[in-house]
Amino acid sequence: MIKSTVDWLPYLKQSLKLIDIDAEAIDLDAVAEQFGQIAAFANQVNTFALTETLEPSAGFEP
Amino acid sequence: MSTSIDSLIADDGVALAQAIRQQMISASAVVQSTLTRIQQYDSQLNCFTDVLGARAMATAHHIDRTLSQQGRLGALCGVPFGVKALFDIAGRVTLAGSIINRNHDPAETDATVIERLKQAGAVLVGPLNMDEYAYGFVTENAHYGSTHNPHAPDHIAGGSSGGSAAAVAAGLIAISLGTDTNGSVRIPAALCGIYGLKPTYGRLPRTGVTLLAHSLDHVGVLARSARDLATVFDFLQGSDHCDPVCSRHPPDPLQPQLGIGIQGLRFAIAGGYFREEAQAGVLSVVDELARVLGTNAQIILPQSERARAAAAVITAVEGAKQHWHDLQIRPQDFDPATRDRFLAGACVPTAWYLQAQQFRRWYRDRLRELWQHVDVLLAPTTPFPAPRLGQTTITVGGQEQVIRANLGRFTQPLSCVGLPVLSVPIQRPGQLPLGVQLIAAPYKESALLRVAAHLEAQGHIAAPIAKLEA
Repeated sequence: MIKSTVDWLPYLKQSLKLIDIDAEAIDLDAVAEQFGQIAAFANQVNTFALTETLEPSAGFEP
Repeated sequence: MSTSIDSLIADDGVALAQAIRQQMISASAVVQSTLTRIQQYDSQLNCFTDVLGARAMATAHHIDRTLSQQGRLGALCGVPFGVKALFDIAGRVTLAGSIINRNHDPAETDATVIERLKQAGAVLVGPLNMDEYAYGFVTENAHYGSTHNPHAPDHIAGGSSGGSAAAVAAGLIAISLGTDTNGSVRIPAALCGIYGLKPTYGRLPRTGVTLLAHSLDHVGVLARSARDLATVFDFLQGSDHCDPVCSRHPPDPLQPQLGIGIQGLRFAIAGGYFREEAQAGVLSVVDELARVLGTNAQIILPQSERARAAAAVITAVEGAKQHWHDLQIRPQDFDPATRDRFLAGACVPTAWYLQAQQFRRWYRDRLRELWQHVDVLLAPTTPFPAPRLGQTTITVGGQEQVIRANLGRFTQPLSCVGLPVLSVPIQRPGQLPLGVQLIAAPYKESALLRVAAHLEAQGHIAAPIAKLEA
């Protein structure tokens, strides 16, 4: 379960620095808002119990 | 423009090609008329990011010469078409709605799907506006401006293939190509009142297409008639050895199946999630089409909300990966609406992405079971008709919704598992058009086109050219 009250700014600052993206000139509040939405979506998926294993292929067969 | 060209353009691409082949009208006259119409109306619509007038006229003259020498030409000979600005056009830089790509080298060859349409005789007129890198549902592009809805120019055309939809709806071109990751063909088609086909994942080749999210991206077709869709699809389908994702599934020609009718097909309405958080008028058009098709049965697609969530996570991560280098060296050059989501996607933990991919396969397997009981499902394409340009929220069922995030509510779960979906146009006198999604099992595009042809012949769906102000 991903906590909905997390302040994502410190995590984003650290993560962007680690992947060599200069966040100095960017409005990180806007990025944090987007990240919060993705986290909410991820939360929906992560709270579903799955027993299947991930298929090894890189593609997707409909 | 002469009355005969007017009436031919108001029909569809196949009719136009027939008239050209029978030399009732020349390809040159059709293309010249198209260029004039673009010059007249595109300043208010902003569909095209470039117009390849000289090249299109040269192709048209070549067609006319071939016809005068009794040469054979394809079923789309002389039909003007456009492509979303992310398809490679030989000799042009593929901008994909960005300014970053201006530094790229011009494409050496056409995208495979452009090449195949040209072989069919169609004439490429130019690239069409889109959300930057296809990451959006509105075509409000910070670099190239917004595309306007031909039915109401102060409203959005939808996106990300907004230019592709608006140009067809306005009758500037007969057919166009777009891409659909989460709804980017179906949503603008619905909001602009035309047909938008997103085939099965991997069904149409993506060679020469700038991708947003590689495991979700589909090439799609936009048109104003079912037979145009079927004709274009038939020329585009077939394996492509340059595209590792392109299916080796045998081609299934759709044109011969258009007249079969709907006998033997089982229908149902997608219930549950697909009936929630939509404006009342949206559900009533779905119910009306279902009634015409003889059903009011509802089938639940389990966990569709989670499927939408999985699609959003996968898109964010794969999209960020696609643009990683530019995010590192020139983040300020992105459209802010796109950049903020790519940056957020770049920071998503791997476990979230893998869980989303794993869930996606679970959802796909559940839907595979469903096709034992039904052939075609009906669902709304969007939760509401086209909002105004710049509008950020909308009220649905007394609740305020964020427009950008929610336009894809009903399209995302379906593309997440690669199902073929056709958004068919519903015209509403005095109101903006809507779309209804017809959904089938993988590789069953033929069922969708049979239903569309039937509904069109009965007068229940149609895509007339929008009335434009001169």
